[in-house]
Amino acid sequence: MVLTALPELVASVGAPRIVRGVRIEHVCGDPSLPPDQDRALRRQLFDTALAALGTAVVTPTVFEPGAAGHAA
Amino acid sequence: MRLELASFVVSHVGFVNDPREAGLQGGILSVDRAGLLRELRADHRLEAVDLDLVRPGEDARLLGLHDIIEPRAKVDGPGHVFPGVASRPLMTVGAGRTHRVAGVGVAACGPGLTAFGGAPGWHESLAFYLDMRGPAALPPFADLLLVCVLAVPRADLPPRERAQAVWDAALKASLHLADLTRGASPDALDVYETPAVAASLPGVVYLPLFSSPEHYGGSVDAFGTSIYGLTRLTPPLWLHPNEMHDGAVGRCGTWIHQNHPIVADLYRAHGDSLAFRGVIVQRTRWTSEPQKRWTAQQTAKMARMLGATGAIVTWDYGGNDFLEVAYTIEACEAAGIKTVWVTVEQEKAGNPGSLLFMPPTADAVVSTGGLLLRDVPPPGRVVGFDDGALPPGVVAEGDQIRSVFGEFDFYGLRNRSRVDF
Amino acid sequence: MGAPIRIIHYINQFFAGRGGEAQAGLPVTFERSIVGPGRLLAQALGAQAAIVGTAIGGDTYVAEQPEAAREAFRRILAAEGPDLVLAGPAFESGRYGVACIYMCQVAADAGTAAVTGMHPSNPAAALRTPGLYVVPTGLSVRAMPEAVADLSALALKVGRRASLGSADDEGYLPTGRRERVLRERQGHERAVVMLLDKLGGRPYRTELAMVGLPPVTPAPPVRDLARARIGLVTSGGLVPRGNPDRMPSRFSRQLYEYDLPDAGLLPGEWESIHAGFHVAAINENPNVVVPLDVARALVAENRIGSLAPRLYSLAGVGTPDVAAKRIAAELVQSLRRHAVDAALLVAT
Repeated sequence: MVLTALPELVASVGAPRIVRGVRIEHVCGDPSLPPDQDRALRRQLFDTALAALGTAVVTPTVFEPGAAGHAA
Repeated sequence: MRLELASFVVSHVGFVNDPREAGLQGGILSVDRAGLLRELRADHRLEAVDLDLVRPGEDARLLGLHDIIEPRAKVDGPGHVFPGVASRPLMTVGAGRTHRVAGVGVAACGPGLTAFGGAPGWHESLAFYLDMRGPAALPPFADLLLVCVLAVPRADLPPRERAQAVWDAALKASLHLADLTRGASPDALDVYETPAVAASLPGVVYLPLFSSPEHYGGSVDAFGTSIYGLTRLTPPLWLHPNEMHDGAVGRCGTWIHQNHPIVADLYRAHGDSLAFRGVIVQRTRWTSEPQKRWTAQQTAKMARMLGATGAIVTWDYGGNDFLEVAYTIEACEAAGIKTVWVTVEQEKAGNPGSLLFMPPTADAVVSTGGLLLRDVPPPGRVVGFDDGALPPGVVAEGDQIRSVFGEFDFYGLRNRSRVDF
Repeated sequence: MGAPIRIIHYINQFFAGRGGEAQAGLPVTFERSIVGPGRLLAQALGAQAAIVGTAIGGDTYVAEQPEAAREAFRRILAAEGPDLVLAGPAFESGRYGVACIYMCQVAADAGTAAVTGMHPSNPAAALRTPGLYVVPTGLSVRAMPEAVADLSALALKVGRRASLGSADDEGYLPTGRRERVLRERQGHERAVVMLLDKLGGRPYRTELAMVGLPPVTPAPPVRDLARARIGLVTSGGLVPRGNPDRMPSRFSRQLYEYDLPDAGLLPGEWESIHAGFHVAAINENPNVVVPLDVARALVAENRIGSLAPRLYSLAGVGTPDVAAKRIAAELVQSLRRHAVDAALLVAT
């Protein structure tokens, strides 16, 4: 599955499971946050990724971190 | 906005020792070399400055090339050319009378840094060269008489200051040369204005997208295309095409923006087959999809509010800048604005394309192909600065390839294209 | 004029007059005669070519047993040694289109020229590969006369190994190869003309067509994450500080693997050399591009089973399609070798 700040682009090339990351330069975190919050954000992204891995999909599906149930 | 553009055609440039001999006479531009150098050396950011001349057809190569600028000066009307650049006064330009020296360019050359790279931690650095003879003598630049400003900025200055100092030296030289036309009578006088035209004519806007390396270079004004001095990521700006004539857009190929072929075409067609509604400038390389959509949607909205039903879209870089292009095309088409996109292709001829994807609405594309020159003979002499990437006489070795100034034909200056087999 | 071009024509059970869907399970057979639309083709081809025989296959047979179908056709080609294979036309029929593409691919693999025809929107058209030519046709059998004319014209050129012009000029679907050309007018002029044509409702021709990508079949979901091995991959150009393997900042042509560091990804020990964005955030905390800190915590908490022992990295700036496909194959091979169940690809 793909973690990216450009989920629409990645969906357009057919990747089935996509999680929206933060920014191109720091997909899995946010350096403007204090370290523990940055790490919590990274954890949330990874959890969303794991949820995506466990979900059956048919067409490219973007999973939004923090959304209840995840799949967008 | 009414601009009179007076052209002074120059067929020969030479340096003179006696300042009284400096001027323009019979197509010959005589430059007070010592006087110009004195003017340039007054900038304390520079450790050394020198001048050189290269001619079309000469067996010479320019290295470490940042920019090529057409000498222009405003002789009447508000503001000055190159407004807001390098601490020049900021005022909206595009009206009055401006002189241009046709057939001449000022080449800005500096060591290490380029107009789009070289800062620490920035792994992209476009080092340009230009040959005046041979396969890498690309028109229109290699057809110009080039006055080369070779500026070495002080090594202790930060990258932003060094880049600005090199460009500033070339801008000063451009103004110095253009000032030599004051009092002379022009070879041609063109009037640029966009009067109201028949309501039945389709409104057309030109939509150039300029990459902004704001996040990389740590600067809001030193790297990338400059609009009134700013290179940073900004919302879309609506420009009158005359503003481009007065140097409001520049830095990475200033000469092209001063002599923009698409702007010229749309101007010529104004009142005849279309109504030219202006230029909406966007920045690209925003770092998230919502931001990229934001600029595209605002642009399409502005275009529609300006009464446009057609648009020509260009860009000036690659990679994720493409998303802003795709979103702009989609947003315009959704707003009822028919688009044509002019683009380079970034792969070697023969290989499948590496464009990220194509929105279905991008159904009218002009391709200017790609140009990867490898077999270029070493030049007789080298002017400028070795960028250190390859030996000066070599332009390609393995995956390391020097780019020729203007090789990425973003604005369709040449006939090159690609076709499907 | 030389000897006539020897052509084998491939058609399906329907066009061979064997029946409709009920006969779609027919295996691939060959007969030394001209069958169905082959008669019209033979007429159009004239004396310069001869259809020496017709291969007939049931669309369902080919769809369900593609390898057997291809092998049968391979044997026919080996025995008959034609100069060219002509398949279809398939119009909008998807399975027939696929069969035509398969047979043309068998021919191309054997060094035999191959031409087929179908409507551009036929999903099979997107499966075409270099070495075979697809002539665009109308949607239905009503377009047969034009399809026959176009197919035979191209077949004669391809069969004679004449040098072909561009896809637009010669009337075939682009094969993926783009070549340099000098046009009559400069790009800026062409843009304005194209826009005025588009605005005026006049026909225009794009110089760069949309690239369709084949759909990706999703892998089934991971059933038991607590026992799963996860592989960490990134296109963010992460390298050990100093870039000892000299990973290029652009035009990546290979994949790089590094052992997962026991101490985690520490700034000062790793950096990014990617040319496509500002790398400061990664240099300060490499976990933002390879989330190893969180991955290890999840293993410790038994939320996932384990991590692949290597991290995979490259900087895919301007990487050509062909290189990307090869890199992907190598990556999959390596992940399988390490018994990885799922890969997390962090894309910048």
